Amino acid sequence: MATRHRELADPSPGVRAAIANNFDGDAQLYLAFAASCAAQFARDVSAGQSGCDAGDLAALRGLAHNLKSALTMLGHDELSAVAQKLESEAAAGDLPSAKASWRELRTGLSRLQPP
Amino acid sequence: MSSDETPDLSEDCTTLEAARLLGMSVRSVQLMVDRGELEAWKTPGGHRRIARTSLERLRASARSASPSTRPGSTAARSARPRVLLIDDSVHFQKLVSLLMQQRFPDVELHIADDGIAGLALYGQLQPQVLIVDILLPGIDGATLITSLRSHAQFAHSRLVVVTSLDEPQRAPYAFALDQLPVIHKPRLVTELPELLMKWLPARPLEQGDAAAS
Repeated sequence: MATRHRELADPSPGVRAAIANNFDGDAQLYLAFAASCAAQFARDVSAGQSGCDAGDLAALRGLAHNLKSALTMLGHDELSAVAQKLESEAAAGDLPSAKASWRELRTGLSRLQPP
Repeated sequence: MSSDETPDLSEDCTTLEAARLLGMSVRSVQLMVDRGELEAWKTPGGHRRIARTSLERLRASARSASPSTRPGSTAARSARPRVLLIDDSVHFQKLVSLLMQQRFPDVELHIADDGIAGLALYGQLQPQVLIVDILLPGIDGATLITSLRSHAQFAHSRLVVVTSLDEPQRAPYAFALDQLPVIHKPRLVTELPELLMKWLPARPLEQGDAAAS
């Protein structure tokens, strides 16, 4: 299927690959999903910070698990790897490492720009 | 005792009784006890005894499941094909909604945020297709699937599992995933429409139809 990038002026290589590989070449669907994620990421940051402050590893693990896939789909592979690291650390009960990874993930999420 | 009667909360109950109250298989209830999803203790003979207060919390959660159905659809059955998504990830709820609006606009999509709500909605809707995540709050997806498969009415539904877990991570859930299609979430857009086209009677739109309308 031909990849359609009409709606994206200058997609990054990661976004271009995500559209081709994860969205069947459908840039319109990618954009709609990215917009919905942008709104949800703000809520995720708030929930994650609450979990971090409370030392709630189960909450951090669940949040990281869901963010991991969403970030992969959007082509943010490095940030997805941070989410995966956080998920593993939370599962292992390693609160200090999980808190450090959460801070890294939170910073990355806040810096994401809509495509 | 019928499932609608108010139980005596001062007593614990057996696994069989809990299964009847929840509309689940005994094995599913045993798994929930073992995972700590139901409060229980064991007799000296190893039999599980389940706190009725714990059961009531689960049943209350199931009763409040209906509002999880998203705007634009109702829990009442209609002639339109029905798909039930059970997934706690808001990101993927949105993605599936977008995908269905774009490619299967004639299909009713209903969404449950957890396994208990999903089980309740399944009973109300009798959907043609169930899309179930493995890791869910409440009853996890594997237990949910095992429970659904034990019901005769499930023979009328198709089920696809969606998950962020890679293949090695899915190994503990193999008992529930046997002979089911499993889609890794990053492949959802490329693989789910193909399955739905096979399973649903409605004609899907080709890509671009929605944009052109």
